[in-house]
Amino acid sequence: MLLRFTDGEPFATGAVPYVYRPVTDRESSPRVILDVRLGKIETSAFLDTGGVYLFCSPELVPSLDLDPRDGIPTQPLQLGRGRYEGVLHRIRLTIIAEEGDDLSIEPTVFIPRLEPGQEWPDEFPCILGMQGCLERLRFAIDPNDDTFYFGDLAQAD
Amino acid sequence: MTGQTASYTVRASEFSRLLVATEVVRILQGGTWLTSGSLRDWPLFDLGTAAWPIVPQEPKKHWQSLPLHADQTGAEANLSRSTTYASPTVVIGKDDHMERLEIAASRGDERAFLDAQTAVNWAERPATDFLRAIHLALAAGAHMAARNLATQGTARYPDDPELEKYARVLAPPRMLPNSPRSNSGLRANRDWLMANGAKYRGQWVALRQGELLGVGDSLHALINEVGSTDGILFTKAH
Repeated sequence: MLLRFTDGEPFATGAVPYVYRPVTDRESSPRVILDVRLGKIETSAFLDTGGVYLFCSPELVPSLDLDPRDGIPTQPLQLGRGRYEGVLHRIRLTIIAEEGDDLSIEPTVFIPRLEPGQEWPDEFPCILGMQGCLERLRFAIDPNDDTFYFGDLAQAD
Repeated sequence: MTGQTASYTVRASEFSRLLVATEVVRILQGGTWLTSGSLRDWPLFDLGTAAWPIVPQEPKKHWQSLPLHADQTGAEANLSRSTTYASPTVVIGKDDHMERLEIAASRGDERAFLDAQTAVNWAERPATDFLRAIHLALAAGAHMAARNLATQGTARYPDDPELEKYARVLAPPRMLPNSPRSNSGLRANRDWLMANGAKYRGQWVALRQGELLGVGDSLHALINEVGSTDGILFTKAH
């Protein structure tokens, strides 16, 4: 059942089960891992409410059909223990629902450009940061049954 | 001295001989007092043998009273001092506000960047300064400031395509029309990953409705192997 306010208005328009486990061998803290669609590819992403933008694995980039002219260069961003050069773009991101409707947004995405010899951390899927990505969504988690609820903040406007 | 705007104030004690009319005319017309280098040109007092540009005294600009910045190089400092040899005031030739933004960015100091940003009168800044400041904000980790500068810049320069692009990329996420539910195999895929993920850790896997379609070291190779992306989850096993 989707969440509602006391006046009956929907808080969430979709819900999805998430995986709750560490995403790297080096970490012991579990993450909330969701299924999302980037362009035509359905893949995994974990929540990082202390982070910015959507971080995207370099392996996904060729499938995203991005026009290099639309990107803006940015300074290296810190991710885990590494710093990565990259470009900021806009991209369609869909959070896939099991109940209710999928939700699509156009966030700012950081596309890393690896230096020769530099590796992307193997275990990292995509990362959903707060500013530039999740900031216009309502969301809640229910740890009792590992469900992620989400809705469009604009519905309240 | 060449090319510098220097001022020289002649003191009465150095100028005690009377100038003849032709010398006064030469000074007023040429703005310089040329001597041959011979002391006979100056039988009473020698003001030197160089060309002394005589320019009006300008009111001191506000930045002339600023202290030398800690990051200013020695060469720059010497040059600044050389331009004011007769009135040794330190001059900062650069745009002090932008310089402070650059220093904050180079140190990755978001707080210092925001302090410096608020001191700038952006209403008087060209589009190039907005673009530069956006880059510096990103370097400082001031991502919200970068967005605000892009918004402010494109409002002030609506015909600048580069600023428009920056504002679009850095804007808050745009909500797109809701899509109908597209995948009913999420829970089955999740259960498969929880049960089997460790066996394939670090490899790309392709799953549909909880069924493993393929495993690969690279996403590109796996997509080619599976032959489709519709309704299939491609993820790193974890």
